[in-house]
Amino acid sequence: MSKEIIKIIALILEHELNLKNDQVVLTNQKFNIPPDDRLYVAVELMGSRPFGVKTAYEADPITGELLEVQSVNCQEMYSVLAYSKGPTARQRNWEIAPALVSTFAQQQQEEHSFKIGYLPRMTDVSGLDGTSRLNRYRLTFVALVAYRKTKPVEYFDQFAQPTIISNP
Amino acid sequence: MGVRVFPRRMIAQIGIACANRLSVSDAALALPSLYATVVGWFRPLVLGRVTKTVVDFEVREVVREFRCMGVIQPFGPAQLKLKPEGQRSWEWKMLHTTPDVHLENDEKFKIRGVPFRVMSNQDFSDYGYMSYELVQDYTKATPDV
Repeated sequence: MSKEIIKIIALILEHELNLKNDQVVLTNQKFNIPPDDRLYVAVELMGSRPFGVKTAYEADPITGELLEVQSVNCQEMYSVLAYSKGPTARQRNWEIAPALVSTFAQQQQEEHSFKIGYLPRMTDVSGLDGTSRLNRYRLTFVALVAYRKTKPVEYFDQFAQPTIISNP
Repeated sequence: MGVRVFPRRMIAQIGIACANRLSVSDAALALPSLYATVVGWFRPLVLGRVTKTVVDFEVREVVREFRCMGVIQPFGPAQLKLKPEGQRSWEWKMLHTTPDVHLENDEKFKIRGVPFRVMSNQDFSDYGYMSYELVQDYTKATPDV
């Protein structure tokens, strides 16, 4: 996998909600939230549940070296936090669900081989921030992803010269 | 040399017995007014009074500016708040004005272009000034968003 799924989801939201570069971030960034009333989106990976783990072996097609292939299939849960000082978050939070099934989202899923769940769940998490209570809505949904790691392993095809000891 | 002896009645009029007759409010008024001092310390300010109305089930704020005399100082440190979605740092300031300026909590105005909101007020008008605590407020979004 060449690109993180969470960054692809952030790209989909930025593209479909027509947001600017400084309005979509991943969580736990040292991002200075501007003190204006625009819509801001934070994307978070909440956890994952592997449902298939496998180790297989294959030969390197060029060198013939033995490779160990570790792979895992996961159901990852993502959270999208939409918040604004103004009413924008309340007015536009519905756009996140169709953004995840948009044409652009389907293209991204096809390109990066993962699947986003259709129906997010939304929760109101409005709270105090500075002089106002922000409009904050958290949408959670799952994505099916697969990870794969390949590395060379030792192949036991060479043995030490046996020493035969017999009684004199 | 003879010793002057005041009659008992005269001592009662200028001594402790006189203070006993003062009410608490009268005694408070007897404290020195700082008005003459603080006016020399104050500078011209332009504040904005906020009027709130409900339009289409949402509160709309209209700001009307007015001029007054006062002084603005830092109130507390602007502490960084770290949150999962980012970080913020709100600036706090203290405002002293002449007693004729009565700001209510939640009044809003700008200091050098930065909006501030009144979070608390203390009425020291008996001593010649008013005291307010302010915190930095949100701005409007850029017009193209």
